[in-house]
Amino acid sequence: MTQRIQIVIVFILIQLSIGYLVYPNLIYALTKTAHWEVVMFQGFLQWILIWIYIKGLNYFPENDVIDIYLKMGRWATIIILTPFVINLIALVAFNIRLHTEVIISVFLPRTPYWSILILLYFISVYTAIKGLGTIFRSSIFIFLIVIPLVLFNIFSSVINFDIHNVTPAWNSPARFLFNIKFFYLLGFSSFLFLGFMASKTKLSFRQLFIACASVTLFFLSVVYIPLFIFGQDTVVTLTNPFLEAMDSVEISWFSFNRQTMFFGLSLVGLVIVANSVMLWMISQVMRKIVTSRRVKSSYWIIAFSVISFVFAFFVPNQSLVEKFFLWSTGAQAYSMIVIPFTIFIYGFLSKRGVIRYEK
Amino acid sequence: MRNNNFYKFLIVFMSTISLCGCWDIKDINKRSIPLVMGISKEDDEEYRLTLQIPIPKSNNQISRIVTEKGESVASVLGKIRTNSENAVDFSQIQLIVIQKNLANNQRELRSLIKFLMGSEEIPSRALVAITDDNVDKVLSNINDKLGVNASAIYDYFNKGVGWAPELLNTPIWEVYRSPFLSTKDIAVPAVRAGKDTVLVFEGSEILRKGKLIDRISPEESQFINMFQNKNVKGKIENLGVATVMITNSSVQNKTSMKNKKPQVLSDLNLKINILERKEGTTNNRIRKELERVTEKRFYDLLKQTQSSHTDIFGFGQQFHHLISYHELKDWRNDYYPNLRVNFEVHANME
Amino acid sequence: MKNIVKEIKSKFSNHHDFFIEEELVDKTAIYLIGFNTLIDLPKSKLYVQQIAASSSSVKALFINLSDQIEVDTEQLLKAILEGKLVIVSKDNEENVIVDPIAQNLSRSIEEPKNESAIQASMDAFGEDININIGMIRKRLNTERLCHSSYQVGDLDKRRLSMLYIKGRTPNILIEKVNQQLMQINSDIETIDDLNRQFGKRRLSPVSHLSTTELPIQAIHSLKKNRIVLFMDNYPFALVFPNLIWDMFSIENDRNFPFVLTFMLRIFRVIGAMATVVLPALYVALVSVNPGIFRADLALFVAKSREGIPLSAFLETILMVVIVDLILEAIVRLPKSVGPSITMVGGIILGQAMVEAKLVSNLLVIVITAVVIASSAVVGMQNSLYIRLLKYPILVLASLFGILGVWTGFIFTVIYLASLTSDDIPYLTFKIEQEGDTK
Repeated sequence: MTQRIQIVIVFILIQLSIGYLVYPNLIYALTKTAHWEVVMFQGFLQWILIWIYIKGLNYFPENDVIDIYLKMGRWATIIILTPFVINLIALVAFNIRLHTEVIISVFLPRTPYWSILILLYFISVYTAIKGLGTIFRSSIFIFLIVIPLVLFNIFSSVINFDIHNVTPAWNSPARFLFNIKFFYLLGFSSFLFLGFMASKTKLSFRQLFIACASVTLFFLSVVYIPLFIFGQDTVVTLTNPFLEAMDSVEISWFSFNRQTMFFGLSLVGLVIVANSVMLWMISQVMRKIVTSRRVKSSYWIIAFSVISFVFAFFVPNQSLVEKFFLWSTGAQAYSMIVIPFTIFIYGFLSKRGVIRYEK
Repeated sequence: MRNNNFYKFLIVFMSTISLCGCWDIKDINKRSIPLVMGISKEDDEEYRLTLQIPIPKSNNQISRIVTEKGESVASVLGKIRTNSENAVDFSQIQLIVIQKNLANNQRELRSLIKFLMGSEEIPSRALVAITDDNVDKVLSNINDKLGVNASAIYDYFNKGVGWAPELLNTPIWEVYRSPFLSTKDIAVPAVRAGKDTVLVFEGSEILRKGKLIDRISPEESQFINMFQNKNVKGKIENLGVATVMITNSSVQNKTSMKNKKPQVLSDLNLKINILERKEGTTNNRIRKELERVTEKRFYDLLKQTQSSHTDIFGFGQQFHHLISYHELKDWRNDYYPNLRVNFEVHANME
Repeated sequence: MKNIVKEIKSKFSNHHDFFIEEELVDKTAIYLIGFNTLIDLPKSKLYVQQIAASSSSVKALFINLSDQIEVDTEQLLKAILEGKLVIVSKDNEENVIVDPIAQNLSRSIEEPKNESAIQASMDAFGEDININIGMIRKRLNTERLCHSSYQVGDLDKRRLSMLYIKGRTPNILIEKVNQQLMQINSDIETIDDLNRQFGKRRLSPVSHLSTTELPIQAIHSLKKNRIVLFMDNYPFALVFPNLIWDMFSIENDRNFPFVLTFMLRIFRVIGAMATVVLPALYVALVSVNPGIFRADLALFVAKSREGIPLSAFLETILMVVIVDLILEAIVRLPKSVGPSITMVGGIILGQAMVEAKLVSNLLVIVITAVVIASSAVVGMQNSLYIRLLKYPILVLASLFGILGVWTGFIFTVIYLASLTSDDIPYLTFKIEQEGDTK
């Protein structure tokens, strides 16, 4: 029972971490009115993918994704999971770098980014090395601190709302579906990690559904808070609309007058959890593909984090970081479609095969 | 053994981390914390920046004025940083006073606001005000007054609900937003240096797409507060026959389209408290008088803004569900001049 | 003389408290052998004589005295060292190990000295392991309370006892602890020696064991599916595994109404958080991120620090170290001198430092709050490790400001989350009940 709650919490935390920064920008680029349509549609698609994924995983109790692929064959595993690992490395790198830029602008405008990169990498790698149990346990505490901050941010920004800034409308031809950016948008999800620990606990749809719904609600708030405060035309001119929205809030009774600080704090907590989970996933894949006794999974984590640190370190500026981040989420979206479907089809076929064999 | 290695690695790592960060460390007493920034332009060439920096040394807080000139605001800020005795920390700036001659230039005002908004250090919550006076005079005025705190100018704008209903608060982000909004314009408070008090409120400057259009009186800027449903509690109105205090106000708007022309039914409910009256004036008469005066003031202001295509009340905001997003872009020119407002005031005794 | 007595005598030749008394019983001489520092000799003699009066022969006397008769020399030697009275007959054919009337070497049951119990029973564990276990047995009348004892050590065999409730404590855990206790082959002098047997945590401030002096607390831990260990001559029960919630709750809280209990525990949590975070927060806000203050607050803080030559980090670390020194010094000093030193250290030093403008008076307030807050948690061991945790966060805060405080805090949480004792994570709140009751 606690395990399940922990999984749900980690799921929510990773989604928030990925969605906080670039997600609203993407939505604003996709449509000018009826933003909620895009958000809901993305949530819906994601829910379908999760459903397929879990169905597929449930064909193989006590197995995780890698085990299932290894059943298909070693080469299938390497072909499907190697791009996934590379993608994860890129995602870790650009996610951290993106957050670093924001953290610098919130807390430490004169500090060079590499020192903050080192700090964040150090904590993420340490957590990943300590394993999944540590990630789960610490994420509960991080959740308990970060979520009140997030909620406080959301509710305190209400004072600057002007509801009339948003056009209430309904886009009947969903043109955004054919935009490549919608594909990027699909990558803003974290459900793939569910398959990496399915061997321990069986997941229930109901809890995941609650998690998905709350994440969609959160995405809606992330998109609509800047809209309510600034309006669509202003928002597209800002680099970090949510950050600016937080900066505009002033609470006179509070003795600290920086809402952005709470925003920045919640970002740090989220990014650490998200990246340690991704690094842990990399180590799992590598450990099972390369079955060498001498190489421990902690070595894999350190090696790959160094690679991704180099990636993150050598990106020259923020706009490039954002571009790369979008590309890696696009690639992530590709894995998100391929992995659930292959697992589901393989599971379906092998079940059929077993039945026929028995007859 | 491996464990031991791990700890060695950890110690080395922690020490490298401690080598990393030394950039933002500066004790608060070694920072200069300017509260007000004044921006003006001399002879259309050089920017002139004035900062009011409180000196925390003595019990009776005083402040100093620092002035610098330069090609752009950013370069002036850099110059101030270089020449200042302490590190200058702009994160506490509360108010930005812009001189009228600079604000009159639409392009420069917009780029200035854009710079202020984009700057990481200057908070986008800082308020904006426009002055006819010399900026230096406004800022240095604070030192001439007895018993005035260094944060007086900031306090001036943050009196709280019910103390000064005419006063407008316009932060940077609202100014930045206004050119992008197609259905709403904003007013920026206009101040000058006072004789006895630090500042005197002179009304508001109306900005249309970042361009100064007109100045309205304090009474008129009160309307703007009213239409944004900010409470104008405490406003004292002299009607000739009596003096009343408005204790509560609320606006209800009903919008509709007739023959492609927008229409608004607007009801203003006022709760009043009669402070003094001439002998023999009935309550009813005072009410009627208040309604008449208020309505007249509103229609004057509406006419004035309609002729300048400036939707200062933000009526257009309420037509989002009647006019499509793309047509609303032309609200100011196509719809607003044809807007018909049926304004009614309902005054009630407390 | 007879060889056994001779052998024993030669073995203990350089022990001056060793005695061999000859006694005549039924016309046969017997030797009473033992240490007079451990045995109350006159009384024991009297006791033997009384029994002898009612016994017909030496043999009968021995049978009446004890059932450990006719044992080999090895055991006799061991028994002597343990403080038993050994009686050997002159003809060397019979011997017996008798439980004598011992010298009173342990104190009686007293009030708790390390933990203060309010509105609770006032007895505490003492040095004698049997009395301690007896205190538990007296309060926990169930046959499911199991007790296994061990004698471990290289030079000195130390008695250890493990108590658990069958059917509550997970069997796997019992098995593991049993294994670990059996394997001990070095001397167990302190808790840390024992702690090391439960896995590698040499550089960790968090122990595997939490100590308690109160029988009620030990019984509560037993009921909460944990294992309680006792060490001979150590007046504490050692609860295994140590969990984070031990820091915030004691069973005695629940003698108050629920709301008050809740309040007490919340205050302890706040105390622990404040200890860890407050000094770091001061440094971060004052020297790295003053932009977070409101304008008037920022000016106030700037004014309070005016003219102080030390940087915020230096003054904070100076004060924190001095305060920790004072806390340690108070413990070391005899009770009669302690209070005066506290006064000199705390009041005069603090006042003088502020007067001399060496540290800001705001910091003195912060430090005082921290000292008080760090003592709010349960148990000295926990209070100490909380006090240790603040230093890394302080260093991080001085480098990265608020970000440093926050990452330091998260890092601490992650570190605590990574700790496990025998696969039970430190950050769990409950150990699942497992195992059959049979």
